[in-house]
Amino acid sequence: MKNNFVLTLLFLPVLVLGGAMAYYDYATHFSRVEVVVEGYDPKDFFSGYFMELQPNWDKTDCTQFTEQKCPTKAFLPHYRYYINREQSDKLTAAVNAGVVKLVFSYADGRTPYIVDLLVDGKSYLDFVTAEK
Amino acid sequence: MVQMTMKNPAAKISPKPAHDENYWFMVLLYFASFLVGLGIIAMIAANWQQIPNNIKLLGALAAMALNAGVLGWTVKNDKNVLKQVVACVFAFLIMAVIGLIGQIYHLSANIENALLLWSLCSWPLLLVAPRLLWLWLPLFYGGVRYFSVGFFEDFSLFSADFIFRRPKFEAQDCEFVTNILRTLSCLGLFVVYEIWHLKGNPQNKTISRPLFVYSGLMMYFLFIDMVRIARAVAFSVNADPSLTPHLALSLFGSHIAPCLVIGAALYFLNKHYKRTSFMPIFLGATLIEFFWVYMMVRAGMNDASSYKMMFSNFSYELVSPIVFLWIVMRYTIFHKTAAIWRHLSCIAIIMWFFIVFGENLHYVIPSLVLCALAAWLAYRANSRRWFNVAVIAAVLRILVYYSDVSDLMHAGLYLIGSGVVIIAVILLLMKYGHLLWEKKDEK
Repeated sequence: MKNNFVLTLLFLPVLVLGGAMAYYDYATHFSRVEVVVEGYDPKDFFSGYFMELQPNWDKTDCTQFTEQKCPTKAFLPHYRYYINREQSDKLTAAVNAGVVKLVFSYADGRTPYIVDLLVDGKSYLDFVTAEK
Repeated sequence: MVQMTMKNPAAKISPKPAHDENYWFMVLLYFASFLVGLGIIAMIAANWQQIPNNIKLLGALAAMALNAGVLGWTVKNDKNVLKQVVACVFAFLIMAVIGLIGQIYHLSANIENALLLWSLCSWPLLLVAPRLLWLWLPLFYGGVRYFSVGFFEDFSLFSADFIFRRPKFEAQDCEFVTNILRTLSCLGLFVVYEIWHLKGNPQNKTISRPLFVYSGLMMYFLFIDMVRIARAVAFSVNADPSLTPHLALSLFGSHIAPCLVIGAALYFLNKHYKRTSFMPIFLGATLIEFFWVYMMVRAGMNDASSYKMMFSNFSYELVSPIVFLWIVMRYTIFHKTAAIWRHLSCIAIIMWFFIVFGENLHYVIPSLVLCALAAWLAYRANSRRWFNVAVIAAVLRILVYYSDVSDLMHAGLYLIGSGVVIIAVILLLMKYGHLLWEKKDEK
């Protein structure tokens, strides 16, 4: 009996991390908002295979939010966007040119989560593919 | 006692050995499992964007469920060695899946949150493979330590500005709280270990060894940290010598006082249990170190270019590490739970392995010849342990020759492949190695 309980407990990670996946999947299905971003620290721009990006609220269209005001406090001061190595050079150039937006799943009172990165209005994967 | 022996005489004649597997093989199996786990993490870090996210996530869940199932099977069928390997790989797989979730949802979470989530998910593994405590404990500890420090810094639940009311020290207020928490968390592990020895079962080396090693290391880092912070503060405020008493008070409050209180409490606890205590050395060293740091701070504040600063640098870079390494060693010898020479011989082998690390064939061939010579000598000398070590060293050497870590994907594949080859060779040696020796005995 006790042994069976221990064996069942071995599936705890599957349950917890499956729950985490379900939660994040749910949290990324709210309405989309686009926030203009720029490189957080150009000196240490690509550390590993992710970009550090910080929202630029001056350039962001605040009319897309319900109160026509950018809810800056709901967002973090900077975000991390994971990419793979082959894309890093092209994306560095794109971010330096200042045409990059992060797309968030956003609802009032909820934590916004990133769902996409737009370069020149296109999803960054399409942008990278088109550049090839 | 006599009755018990009469009832079960076999128990006395053939007691169950404490370790039912070869020590070296287990170390190498853990090493191989480590490689497989790192390989899985590297493969996931390579960020395969061609694969849809849902497939990656479902694949990760399926891999974890499969791993849990295989682990359960090894437990049910009493496959001890395989169980250790599968549990270790499972621990890394959980870490990799946490990384995968962070990567797919672009979470900006800190490493301490990931460590805590990993600790929460992986603790059931300790129930079937307690040796994983070696991995679980430091990662859990790291998560708790950084989480608590960040928590107190971010939310300012506890302010220590009653210590410093001068405007110049504002930046150090928060540092002060951080230092206290750091000290208490370091000492916490130390206290757990001491209480375990006093009240728990000291025969359980699986639990006492990691606790002893980590508590010793924590003590060491605690003191080095203390000296580092004292130096940084001394350099940053050296224009105003009048702040010296405040700095000394801060150091005393955040580092020395908790050490003295906890050290004294453990000393009396040891005395109560009539056990010779290590605490007088610990308390004495704490006081000496406090005096030492105080002198350094004074030197830094009053005259940054004098011979006193040379003395400070000398103490920081040489004397303090030696003194506190000695304390850690003393701690080791006092408790007599670590087989020091066995660990040293392991380190010597690893060093030798890295000395002949070159990828050129000119390095590989002499290495393999050395391995063959060692295996032959071990066979002649009837030493199975050294024979096995020589065989595994040869396998490792060949794997290093074929290593390819040009990018994350190749590195991942190479690490997983190497880990699997080593595990396979060890399992073969464990299962069929005895045939070689039986043949020799027949001759």
